[in-house]
Amino acid sequence: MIYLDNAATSFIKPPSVYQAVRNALMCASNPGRGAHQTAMNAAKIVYDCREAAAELFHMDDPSRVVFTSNATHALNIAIHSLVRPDSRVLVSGFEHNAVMRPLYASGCKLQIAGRRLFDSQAVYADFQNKIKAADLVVCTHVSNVFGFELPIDEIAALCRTNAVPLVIDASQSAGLLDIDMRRLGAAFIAMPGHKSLFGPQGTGILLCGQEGRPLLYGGTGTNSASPDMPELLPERLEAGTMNVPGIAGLLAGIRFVRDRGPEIIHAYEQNLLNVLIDRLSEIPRLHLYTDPDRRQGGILSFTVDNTDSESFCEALSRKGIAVRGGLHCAPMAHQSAGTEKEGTVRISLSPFTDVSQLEQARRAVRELTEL
Amino acid sequence: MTHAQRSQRLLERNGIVSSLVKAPVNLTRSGCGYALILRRHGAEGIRILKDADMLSGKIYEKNNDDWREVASDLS
Repeated sequence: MIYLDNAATSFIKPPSVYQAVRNALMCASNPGRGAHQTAMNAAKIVYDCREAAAELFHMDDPSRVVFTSNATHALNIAIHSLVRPDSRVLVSGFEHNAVMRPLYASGCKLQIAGRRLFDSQAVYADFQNKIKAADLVVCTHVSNVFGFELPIDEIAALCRTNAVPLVIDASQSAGLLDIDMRRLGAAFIAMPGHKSLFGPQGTGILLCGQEGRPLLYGGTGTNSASPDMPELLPERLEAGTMNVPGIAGLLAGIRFVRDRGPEIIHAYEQNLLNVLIDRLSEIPRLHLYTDPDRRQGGILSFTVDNTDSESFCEALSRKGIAVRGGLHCAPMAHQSAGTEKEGTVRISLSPFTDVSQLEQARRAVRELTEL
Repeated sequence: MTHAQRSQRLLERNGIVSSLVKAPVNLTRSGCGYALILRRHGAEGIRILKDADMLSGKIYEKNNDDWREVASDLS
């Protein structure tokens, strides 16, 4: 099988990740719940991972790195912390349901800014026009459907100037693009551990630029006599037993990214994507969604004339090519691009993808379009 | 616990070894907490933590199982 669905989960991990998960299962129990050796082993793994994440994302204080079960969980905490029913929330036109559903559930007043695919200037201008009427901005860094890189630095500066808190969904950028918490000044940045940070599924991170409101209440191993959650981060937002094997794998993944360099990984995927775009461009009946500047990381969406995207992906799967079709849990992104009716076929790459795999995928796509 | 771990790492970076232990229940104000034990360089360690604005809780002198409070309200 050729795995090209890395925007959902990076299925192939560095060998150190598998090893770290296995080691944690064998030597680490429950952090913060005792002083015996296995509890302290677990506590060390968790703290090492906080430090590694803080370093990668330019944060001074590792205690502001909160572990979650995924990016959705992290986004829910951020939104729960900042949004009230009367809040006016500005979002981009490329948000995932991990952002949209909690916002809808909150009853807040939603406004959308920036729906022009691969047009950063238009997106920024729309945010500029609408920010005065916003109490909060929630914005994805990179579209999970199209790889469109939103102008997050400029949007962050706009938020700072207007004193509007910003929540960033870094699901597709963490581990690939430079995310500098100090520079961005965001209220919260949410990310999964299982995509380009190469941790196992069931891991996520919330970077906290400000205090958060607990979404879950329960044991933290500290302040046990109090009926309230601890005041201090990260314990305030981390009720219940932590996913220590997952965090151990995430630590190994973050170290892999750090050692190789996010910019090197990103450049590698971008080069592969250029190869893929050039080869798929020669196939009739395909419509590729590409940034004129080719700034779309390792994600490419396309449609096939008169063909449902899910059916096309199923046919590709039978040929051993794993990609994703449909709406990718981001219906608004498809509405913005005009692809909501059939969805798109999405190919997403990783540092473990190579050109020969792309060539096999191209052949499979070509064969299916010739049927 | 994270605060104690962060303090321990800061001390480590300054060459001071400490042990992270569970604090006796009767010493923690709200139950379940951790303490750092410095067997040597106590005064230097306290100064480092204070300079980094990371000194909180109380300071005890520990002799076997006897913890004697020597400073409080540090935060």
